[in-house]
Amino acid sequence: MSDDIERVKALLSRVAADGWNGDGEVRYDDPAHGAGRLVSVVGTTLLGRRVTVAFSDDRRLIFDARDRRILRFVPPAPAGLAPDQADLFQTAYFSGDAAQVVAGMWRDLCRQSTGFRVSTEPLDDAGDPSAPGVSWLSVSQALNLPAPDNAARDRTLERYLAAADGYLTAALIVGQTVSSPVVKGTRDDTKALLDWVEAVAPRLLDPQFPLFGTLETNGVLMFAPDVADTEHVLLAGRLGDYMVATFEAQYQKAVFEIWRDVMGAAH
Amino acid sequence: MTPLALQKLRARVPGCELLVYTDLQSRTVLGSDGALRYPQEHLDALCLCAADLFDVTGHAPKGPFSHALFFGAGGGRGFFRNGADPGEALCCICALSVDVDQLVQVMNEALGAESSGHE
Repeated sequence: MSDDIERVKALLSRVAADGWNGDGEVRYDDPAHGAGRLVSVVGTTLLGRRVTVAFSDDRRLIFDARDRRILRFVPPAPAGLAPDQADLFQTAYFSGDAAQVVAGMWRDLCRQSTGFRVSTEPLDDAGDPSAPGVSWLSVSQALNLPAPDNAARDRTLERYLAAADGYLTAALIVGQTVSSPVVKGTRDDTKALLDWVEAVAPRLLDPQFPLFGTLETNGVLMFAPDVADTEHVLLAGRLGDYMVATFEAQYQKAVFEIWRDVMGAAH
Repeated sequence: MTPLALQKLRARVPGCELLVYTDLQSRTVLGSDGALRYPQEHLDALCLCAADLFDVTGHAPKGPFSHALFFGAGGGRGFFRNGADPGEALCCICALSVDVDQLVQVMNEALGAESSGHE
């Protein structure tokens, strides 16, 4: 458990400093490694995000992603792409059939560069919610990458985060089976969450704490601060994974009722 | 807070099954009212849980918390600190179907009234 807390603190510190949950600038000698890192970016994008990838050769790749899927590529296409790759930028919504083309494009982009930097911003319009998109797993398979270690894990906490997204200011999921935590929130929001996690979370997540058993398995703790206009803090657990989040007082009922619908019904 | 006051208070929140008024510092139960007759160990456990929770969150940035809500798949517990006397708190066991905003409002009103009565 202390390892989890250290991971949360390290991750939040990075977000507080850089504004996103990645590793800053990614460098690679092997294009497959670079393409794999792009797959990881999609694999950590649960909530709707516009992702901008700035390659070291000054080309830029922009795409929309949600629920670990690429929904669409945003024109203009980077220069020098093959025709079938450039066609992806003219397609409103594509299906999993495009995974091979996406994998080839990412490999080519990484072959002609030595690194990239990723930035993300919330996606106001995620388009058609039924659009299948291309999943990170299918691109990973097309690149012949090893199966991600968290591909088959319980996703109940992530469903809760997605359902409550509109009410949460900052949020993060971390745990024993999470190799790529999910984060939302601005730098300041995340800093506040970091302060709280550092001061309080280790004691709440101690096996000696009376509520730990239920909290670890399938529970939620919500705290209301004494100070007016200070955000509430939420700590939810599910099968050894945890979500910490902040939300405004007015959303207490909504945040709880979504937990009840998503998590309370889960066994 | 008298047993009758606790009884009336519990009746105001549908789904509230047990209400306990506690002294956080001495970790003792000052009074209780429940839909069922709960054994003393049960009341003591809720009291200790409240004391631990407010002790832990007393270390939180921006100060301690006024209330905390805890839920599992089978139901929940609410912990409400008396703002005027932070050494005392109301704790409850409630159903998963409880209206949390109503629960918080009613408990805070009761604690406010309790504080006024002491003055």
